Amino acid sequence: MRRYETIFIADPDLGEEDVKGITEKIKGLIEAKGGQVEKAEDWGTRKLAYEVKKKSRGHYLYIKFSGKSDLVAELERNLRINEGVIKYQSVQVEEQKPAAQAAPAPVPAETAAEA
Amino acid sequence: MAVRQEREKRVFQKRKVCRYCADKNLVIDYKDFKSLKYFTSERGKIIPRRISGNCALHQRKVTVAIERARNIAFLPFTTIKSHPSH
Repeated sequence: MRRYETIFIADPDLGEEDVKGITEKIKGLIEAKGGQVEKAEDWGTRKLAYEVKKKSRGHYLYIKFSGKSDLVAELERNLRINEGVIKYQSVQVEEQKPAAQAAPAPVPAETAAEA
Repeated sequence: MAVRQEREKRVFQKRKVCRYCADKNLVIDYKDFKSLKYFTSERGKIIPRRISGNCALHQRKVTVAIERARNIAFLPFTTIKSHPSH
């Protein structure tokens, strides 16, 4: 089991309910495939650095989970099919080295990035 | 003589310390694109190590983080600027 984090950008023109529907679907998929959702966040609508599918804004959603690698493949396949998702990226979470544990900063730095 | 002094001065000013080595608490994270912006030029290019002053290890990590941030539209690949001559 490895830990991953996926950011996906939903169409900004979608309603709250549709976005919620996508998130729930993804969460359900992770759990059905034997993974565990650690964290799911809604970062709201943000301006994109460049246009994606002719849209200059996007609704960012963040999910942190653990699972096997085939789960990531399946997740990305589903995101690709979903019409409401305009972009996605999955990254393996870097484990903190024991030497870095002395420094308490990693967690606050992460929350600052999310704000 | 004056020229020589100036050159020496410039060489001295160039020396910069890797900010991630100086402060071990700093974490390079692709989600923290605001601090990564510091390592990109106005046009969105990654600033080379000889100018940013990063050490090899941290420059590599910054590069990966910027590439990830670009991929998810946090940072631009390039900026399109209208050129007056065209």
